[in-house]
Amino acid sequence: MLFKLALRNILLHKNKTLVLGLVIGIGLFVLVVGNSFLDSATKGIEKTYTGSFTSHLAVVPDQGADLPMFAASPSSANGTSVIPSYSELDTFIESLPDVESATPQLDSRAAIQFQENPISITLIFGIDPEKYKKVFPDNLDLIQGSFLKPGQDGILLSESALQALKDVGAPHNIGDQVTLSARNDISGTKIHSVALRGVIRFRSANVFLSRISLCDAGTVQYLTGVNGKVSDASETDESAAAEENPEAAFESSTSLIAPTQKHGSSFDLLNLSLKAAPLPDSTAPAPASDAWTYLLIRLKNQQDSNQLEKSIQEYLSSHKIEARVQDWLATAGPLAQTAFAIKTIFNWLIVVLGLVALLIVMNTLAISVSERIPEIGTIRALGGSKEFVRALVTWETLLTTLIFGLAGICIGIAALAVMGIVGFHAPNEFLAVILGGRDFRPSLSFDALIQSLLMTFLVGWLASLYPVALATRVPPLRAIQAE
Amino acid sequence: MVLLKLNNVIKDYLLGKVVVSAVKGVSFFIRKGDFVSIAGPSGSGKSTILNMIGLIDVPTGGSIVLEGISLTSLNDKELTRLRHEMIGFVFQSFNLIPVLTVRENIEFPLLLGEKAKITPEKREYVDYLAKEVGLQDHKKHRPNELSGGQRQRVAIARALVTQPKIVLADEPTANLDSVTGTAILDLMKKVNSDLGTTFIFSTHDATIVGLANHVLRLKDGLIIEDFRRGA
Repeated sequence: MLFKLALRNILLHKNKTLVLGLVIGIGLFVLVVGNSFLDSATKGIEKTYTGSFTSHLAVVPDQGADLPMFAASPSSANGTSVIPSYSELDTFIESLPDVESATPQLDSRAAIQFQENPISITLIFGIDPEKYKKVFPDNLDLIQGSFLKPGQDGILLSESALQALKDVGAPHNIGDQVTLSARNDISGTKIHSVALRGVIRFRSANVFLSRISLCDAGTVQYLTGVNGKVSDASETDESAAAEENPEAAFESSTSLIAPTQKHGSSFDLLNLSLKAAPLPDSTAPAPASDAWTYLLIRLKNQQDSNQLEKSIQEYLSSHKIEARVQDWLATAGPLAQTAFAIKTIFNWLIVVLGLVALLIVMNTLAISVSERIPEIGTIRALGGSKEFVRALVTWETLLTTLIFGLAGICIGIAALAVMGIVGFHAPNEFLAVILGGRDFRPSLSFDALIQSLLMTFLVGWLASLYPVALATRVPPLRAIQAE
Repeated sequence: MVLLKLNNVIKDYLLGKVVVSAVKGVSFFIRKGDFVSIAGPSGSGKSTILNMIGLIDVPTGGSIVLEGISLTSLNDKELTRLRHEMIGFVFQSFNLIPVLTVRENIEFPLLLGEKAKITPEKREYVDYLAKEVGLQDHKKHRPNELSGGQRQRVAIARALVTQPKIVLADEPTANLDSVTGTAILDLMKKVNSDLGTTFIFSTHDATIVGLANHVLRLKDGLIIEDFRRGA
């Protein structure tokens, strides 16, 4: 009877119910669609980054803050750009049962040059080919050439970088030499030529990520000025000396990466003209085995991420290794974090909208209660307890919220299904980055669904508090006073 | 047998900063099965007395004893329970629940008590009452589909459904035409005779007063006449 009474009262006051229903329904529609949209985007971004670039966790040198992979050169003036005690740490990480695989990496922004002129700036990852493929087994397609072999030098250029070479008539066939130049805080400007081994295309990448090229570690270590040890003052001095005497710097660098001088062309350069000499064979500048900026870790189960992050951090602290462990999002940096920031802003917006909706619903219900005072008084006069009145008003509120809330959620699910089929084409690169790709197909997020259902109950319950308080204060005498 | 006893009952209201005395110390008693009329002009205090007897208002002073229970010491919960078990109301404006049918309105009080369950016996009693008040063919109608007289009949059936000791009727015929009003009073009288239910109603209609066996006349919050026919 209580349910029947509540339902009939809702139907009796159609206009008020409709106002409430629209507020609740539209609110929950926005909540489901918006959150699902953003969840799909963030999941897409996460999949792109963890599957192709950052993996799940990364150990990086401790510079007092997270070290994003795509933000800037990892080298810094204080020389802590490589992970200290790398070999020891690598052995520890590989021994962890939750770790599937790990790969070291370092990166550099380098200009591809042709006849003294930079053609394009590209982000180059220095990798250990064998370990890299274990962590990222299917993240890219090889368009031309072959993947780097262990110990082999060379570069796998991105399609866009190759196109830039083609556009200016620079050598761009497999086996041709590609000249790279980079400047860093440690050792000034470095120039090095490496053989073009292949052309790659990342399977899942936005316009920025698709420009990344892969290179042998020795070359990138040379370009970034790291040498397998934590950079110290003497190297910085060499760098400073290089600015005064580039030739001296050249000697210094070649002494650090001997094979480069033997097989390729390396220069410390500030004002020197580029003379890219051909590499006669495929031997890389010997990589310094412990000079890495990132140790990327793939987990067997990503859900163990937090626990493993803690374990590794404890290990680093107990062994006094000046390194830190960070999750994929910290490694991915600001670009990937934008979508998450938008999601946070959206959630706050939802909280504000929820409060507004709450006030509207509460106010409308309070008016409804005040208009029904004789009826409530009659119920009390007939022997209805305050609990009965409380239950009646709560039922009415919850029913209104549930009926229209569920309707809003259902329409939201239907809209998402349509969007999932039709798809959404990002009109610009910024949106493509935010949405995790050009063609975006949002799907229903169960988190958003649960959140929406909880929101429905919460708004319903909170909205009922004040009207319930009003209703239970109605004395039975009001049944007669209303006459 | 004395069912209800009022002893020097006072009721003051605060109207702004002014204290208004609606009932200025009345004492009387009512026997079980009485058909009582509280008569008097508007503002004489008859509705106030009725409200206090019906446990929907509390006296400022004095005492009310219902079947040996002193009402002045009861809290809201106890008053609600007692009201449900012992009192039936017939309001001047009928006060039916608009979204419920005739049948549902009649059985509604059965759902309000602590043992709110409609048993087959109770359902039969609801049907019996609907028939008694002549609405057996209107059980599925909503109040807005009924005439004033029919609505008041529903209200009477609803007042009786919990088998209360007392039915209070505050000017039950005020909103009805004279023919319907007479029919309603006849119905009350019949229930009073058949079931032995005590009826107390307030009125300022001399014709209705004539039907009562116990008449209380009020003026300015005081009893000016208390007589029993046949006593």
